[in-house]
Amino acid sequence: MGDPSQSRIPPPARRKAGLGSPAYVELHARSAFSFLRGAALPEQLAERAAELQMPAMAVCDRDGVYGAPRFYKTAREAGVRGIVGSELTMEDGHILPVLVESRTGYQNLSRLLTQAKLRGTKEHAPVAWDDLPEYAGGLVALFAPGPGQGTVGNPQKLLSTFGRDRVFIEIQRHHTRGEQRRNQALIDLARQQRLPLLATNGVLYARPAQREVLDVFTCLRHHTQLDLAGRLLEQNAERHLKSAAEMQALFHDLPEAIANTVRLAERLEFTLEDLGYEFPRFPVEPGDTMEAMLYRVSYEGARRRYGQDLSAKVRKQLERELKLICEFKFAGYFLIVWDLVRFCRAGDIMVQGRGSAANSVVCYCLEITCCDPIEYKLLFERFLSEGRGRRSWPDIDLDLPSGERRESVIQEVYRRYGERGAAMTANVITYRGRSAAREIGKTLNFSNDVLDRFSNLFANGDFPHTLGFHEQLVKAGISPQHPRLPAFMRLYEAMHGLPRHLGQHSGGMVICQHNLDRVVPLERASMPGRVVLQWDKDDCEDLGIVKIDLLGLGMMAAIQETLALCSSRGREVPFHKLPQDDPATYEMIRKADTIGVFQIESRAQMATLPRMKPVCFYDIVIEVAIIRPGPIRGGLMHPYLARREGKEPETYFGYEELLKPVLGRTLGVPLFQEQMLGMAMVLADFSGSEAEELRRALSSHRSHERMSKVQMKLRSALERKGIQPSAIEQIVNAVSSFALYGFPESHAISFAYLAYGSSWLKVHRTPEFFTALLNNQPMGFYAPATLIKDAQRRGVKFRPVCVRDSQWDCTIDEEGAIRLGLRMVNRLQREHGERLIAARPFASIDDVRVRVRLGREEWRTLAEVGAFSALAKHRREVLWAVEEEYREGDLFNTAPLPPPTSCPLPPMNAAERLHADYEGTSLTIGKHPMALLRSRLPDAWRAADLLHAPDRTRVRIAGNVICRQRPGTANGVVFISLEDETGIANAIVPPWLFERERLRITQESFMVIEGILQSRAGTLIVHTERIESIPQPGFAGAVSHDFH
Amino acid sequence: MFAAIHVPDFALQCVLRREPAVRERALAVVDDGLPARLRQITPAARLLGVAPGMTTTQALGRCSALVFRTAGSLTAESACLLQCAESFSPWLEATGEGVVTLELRLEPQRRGGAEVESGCASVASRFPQAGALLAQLAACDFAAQLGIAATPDLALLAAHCARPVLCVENAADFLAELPLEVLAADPDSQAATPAAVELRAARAAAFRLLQRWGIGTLGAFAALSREDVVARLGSAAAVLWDRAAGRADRPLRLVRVPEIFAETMELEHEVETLEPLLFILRRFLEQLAARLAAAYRVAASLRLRLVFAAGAPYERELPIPAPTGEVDVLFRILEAQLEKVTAAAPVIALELSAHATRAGQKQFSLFESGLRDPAKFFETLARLQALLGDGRVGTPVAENTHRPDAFHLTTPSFDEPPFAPAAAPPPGPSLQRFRPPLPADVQARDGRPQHVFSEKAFGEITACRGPWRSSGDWWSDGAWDRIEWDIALGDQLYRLARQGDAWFLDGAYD
Repeated sequence: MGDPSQSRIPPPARRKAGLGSPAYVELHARSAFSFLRGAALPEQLAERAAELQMPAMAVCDRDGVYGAPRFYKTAREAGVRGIVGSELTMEDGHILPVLVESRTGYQNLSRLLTQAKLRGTKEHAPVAWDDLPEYAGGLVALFAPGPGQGTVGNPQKLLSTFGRDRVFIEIQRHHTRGEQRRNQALIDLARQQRLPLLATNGVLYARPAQREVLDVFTCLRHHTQLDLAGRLLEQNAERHLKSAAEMQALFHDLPEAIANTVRLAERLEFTLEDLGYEFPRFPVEPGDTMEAMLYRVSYEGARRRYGQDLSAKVRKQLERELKLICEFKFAGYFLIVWDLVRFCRAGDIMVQGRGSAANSVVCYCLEITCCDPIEYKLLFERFLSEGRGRRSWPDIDLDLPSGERRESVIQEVYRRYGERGAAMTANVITYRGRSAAREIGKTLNFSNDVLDRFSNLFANGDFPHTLGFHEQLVKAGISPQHPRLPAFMRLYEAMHGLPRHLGQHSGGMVICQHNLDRVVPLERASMPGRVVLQWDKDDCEDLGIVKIDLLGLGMMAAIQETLALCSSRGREVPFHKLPQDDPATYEMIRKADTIGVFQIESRAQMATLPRMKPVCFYDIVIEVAIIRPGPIRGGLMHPYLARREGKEPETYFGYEELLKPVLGRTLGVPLFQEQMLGMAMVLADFSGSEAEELRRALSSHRSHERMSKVQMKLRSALERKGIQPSAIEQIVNAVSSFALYGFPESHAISFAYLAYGSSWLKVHRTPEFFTALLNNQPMGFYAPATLIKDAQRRGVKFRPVCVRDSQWDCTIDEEGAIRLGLRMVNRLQREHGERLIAARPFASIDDVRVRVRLGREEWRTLAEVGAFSALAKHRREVLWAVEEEYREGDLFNTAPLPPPTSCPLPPMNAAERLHADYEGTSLTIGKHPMALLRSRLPDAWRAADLLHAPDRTRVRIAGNVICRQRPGTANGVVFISLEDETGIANAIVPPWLFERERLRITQESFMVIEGILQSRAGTLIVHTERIESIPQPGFAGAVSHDFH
Repeated sequence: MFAAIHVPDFALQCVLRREPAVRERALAVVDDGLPARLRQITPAARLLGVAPGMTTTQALGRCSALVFRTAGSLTAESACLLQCAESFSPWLEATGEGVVTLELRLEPQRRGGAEVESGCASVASRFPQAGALLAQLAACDFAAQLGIAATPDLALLAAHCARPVLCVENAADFLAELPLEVLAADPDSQAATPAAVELRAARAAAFRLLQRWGIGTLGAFAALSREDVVARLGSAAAVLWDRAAGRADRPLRLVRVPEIFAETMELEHEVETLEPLLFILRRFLEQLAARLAAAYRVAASLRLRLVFAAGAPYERELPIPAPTGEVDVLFRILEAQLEKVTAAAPVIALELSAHATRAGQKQFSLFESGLRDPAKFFETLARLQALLGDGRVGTPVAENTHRPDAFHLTTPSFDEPPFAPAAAPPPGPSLQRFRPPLPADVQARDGRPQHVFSEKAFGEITACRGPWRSSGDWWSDGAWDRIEWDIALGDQLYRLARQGDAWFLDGAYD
């Protein structure tokens, strides 16, 4: 082992291992990030290695280093050195484990994997043997035939590629019959070739009990069931992480194989600490520097924002920020984001920085953000502070209009940095809830119908906290005595949170100075033109890799389209200079008439608005922030509203003098993350960076331990300052709860701009706004059917889809009515719609039929939704005509075609038209379905009439369910919104009733609710006592927004 | 003249026939789609707002006490339907699920039974046995409807509207007011050829389109020009139009009554002793024997299935050494088989079926080496089985599992070529297993066995290799976890295994 003082194994681990006692290092383990080929999280492997006092350990995931960052991080914290490796699938099917010796080796491995992944398909991307010599440097190969490979084979290929000193003969013992023969052959080979033997346990899970999960994964991989898998399954549970003593006993006859694990581990000096990541530099003119340029463009921007004469306050803040940015060497990062924003503006792409970037005056001056941090007294430390070390990069997220515009920005980044210089971060999709239960159920041979019912009980990601897992299984029809139930529950517990597959993060992009493929393997995303890296955003952050979030916001796309429509109609809107005191806008917001607007349209927001009664822009900032899990869970919402209504005095935890400057504008209730930082700074004497550290630790969802530590630190600091114990308790609770979910104030301001702006547009540019909303679906909280009914109640006229007049998108005609676009027709391909538009004008149905080629079902749908009403008497006339075979005329005969036979079909009645509208477009511009059902429900109140009902009246309401929600903060209460022909009525369902009627609530599209009306401060809500179905309403109704 | 028998909700009726105890409950027969949907429901379910076509989840939302059943195979019940009909006409068509059409070519002859009071005077003259037919079906627990008309398709439509018998005198009047949905009853619903499947899909599409056209009755449909309909909906719709207009005529696709001889019963009261079980089985055998005799067949084998209140069902195929239709002989075989059967839970359902054959007809192929006297061989096998118990007679077949010594026994087949190349045996000495493994007392040090004492072998272990560990089936009752050692006692090698705290001598190596 050499001189222990020279060892790279951390001393504590060596001590734990016992001085002088021969140790063992596991050098071949797969984590669950080998996707169905390993059953333990990397963290579990690292923790177990630490328990076993293993000084180091390697994780070799299949065809990647997916689990390496998590393993490295946990291992480092536990005093275990995390070694990187990977199992490579070679083109001939051979599995070649390799271990990383040096940074060069890591870069080679990363590039080798990238090469294979980008060359192959997503499902099959083997490594070519011919590629191996180029990338073999710095890697150590293990030679071992895989299970099922009959002969031991010959290591010559590896020897010539890696060299004699970097090939080990791997030997494993799992107490299975027949393995001795294979192992003896390997031992003979090692002696004959004079190659070192290396003992490993081929670890597939941390503890023996996890073998069950591996068996399930094996079944999933082979698309079979446990009962049928037979010899595909593990023979025993021996492939868990074993202690040095166990491995020594197992290889007592081959001590050198054990000793070699330690020797090799010593040689494998690379860890992810040594990644060599470098954020790209911004290109500047010769003689210039990035820092100088940042100063220059920031001051230029400041003069545009604040005028030529900058105040001392602005100058001071700018100087302070710029100094820190340059000190941290972040100038290039700011310039790159600035340049990207310039690209957007040049390309008419709306862009707005969100999140804590809005706390920075530099970002404001660079026009990355639109909120003035000086005006709102925002805390810069929330964005960037001293003492945060090089790994904590500032986080600038850019909101872009979703759709093509955002994609063009992403493609621009790829263009600038190359396919191997930029990539989207991954998103790890894990087994939880329905997905885990379904997969386990399949392998245990439960019927599909039972699993389907089980999934339905979850209802679209519903919080299952009021229905225990066991109870849920029983409700789905699985007997409590079912012999496989214990295994089902065990597996559900064990599989929960294990990675299922790798997706693509919604917007996080990583770019790199040198090729990114040297830092992390890259692979193709499912989406064409996208490259994704093997780690998620948390992994990247942990390793100091900076990402830029390019997030898509449907509302930004809608606003941008609204503005364009306004311009085209001569009703220009200076969106960034909207008056922020428009009475009509606030009037609408106070009435909670906010369907379709940004953020404040949700059911919970609408329930608060009549109490909040916003009168100024900052009220909207608070409204955006207050309906969040953090403030609600922290019990902050009601005190704030009560204080605002004057029902409760303003208090400041008993420290008014100290806290009023921090909490004054929110009446003593901490609502924003900046206020939390401020409280820690004022009351506990935290520095800005310490306070930010506190927030980061509290938001770290991965580590409860870290959270407890900082809570303790805050508590101690408050005690030292002599704060009253009761106040400490309140403060720590408030800080902890909304540090998890609360908004930064700057973020709330950015969102409030969009909320106010969209509200203004709804009031003053109603047709344009609704047109844009319809053209940018899916987005927001409500389906098009509900948006249309809302617009109609506001006096907007709609025209149906029309083959003669509709464009692909919805448009506004000369009279200001919205003409539905062809895009609203279900199952009509865009290409076909455009073909139809291009062939205009049409003289008759026959003319359309002859000149446009559409699918048969497309014709029928267009006919049924009345799209030919300009050319026919009624919808069925067209339905009759479109069924006829094409009657093409003779090419050389100019005589008109004979007239088609007259239609003998009856016209549709109102109910049939409604049914056809919903079938064909999922909406209607005619009567609401409830208008037709009303006569069957004479005792049901209409939504609009509830306003006139006294508080505590017993009422029955009926309608199309447009929203079902069960927020995690509501203790199991369910909120249901029913839409009828007059508006929307809201009801709440107590948990006991929800559990009793769970399936009725989640399955019925129309229902009747009976209960007691609560009418307070303009908020109407029915406390449900009884729920009934409306038997056979005859139409599907609008799509409901459920449990999101 | 044709008569169509229609058993409404046939799958549901079959389920209730097998399980009479649930007749009054809210019950639905579901299909096997995903999500599963309700096919047919009981009146009790309908009263609670449940409707066919709903998913099982939607239905549970409306009625949490709803009971689901799948219909399973309806072959036996369909055969029963045909067998009933065969008594009244030899010209039969298995028109669809729960639908049989008869051609009434001969002059009607009274076979006894009451006439039906149908309100239609012509029933008596056209098919006087209608009442007897319905009574016979009722005796088999089928509530059927009977339509009588000049063409098969018209008779089928009449059967759908019959309460319980309808004779169509004036086709045009009858058809005009019928709802379009009656056309959904497709006479080709049982053909499984690709062409038939395609045709059925085309007709279903045409039918859906007619609904979209707002055509509500057959009269409205027939009012459309046939040419226009065919031009728009294709030739598949022509058949529908012809049926709607009463112009469809076709010969019956005659079938032979299938030789399915099975009787099933779900017991309302659980049976705990052999005597009542044998009583029921004897009755089954008598019915089967009579049906076999009517078809000039004998039983080549019997298949018995007993379902218990708990645990796996008992299923046995009992080859009849010399195929026969004699009740006593068959009963003896059953009795011998059941004498050794014990169960932890009472019987709740039973099924007995006979595989029919013609007596004494068997010809060997050129290279087939059959038994000289198969009847005698199987008789011997049956005796051995009765003597030794279940699962102890037959040819062993290794199972696909790591579980040691996992195999099952199959009845030897002499209809197949006897030899297949055997897989190469694993290298090393072969193991002669002790079955069952011999319990052993073992002294161990540091987990390694040192001394062993058992019925067959004992003494100090002179050499020992292992351990080999295996475990599996952890998800089921059959979970195992064992450790094996190969040991030497003197010059003899043995395999020693430990399962839980118990040691066993598994076998000796050659």
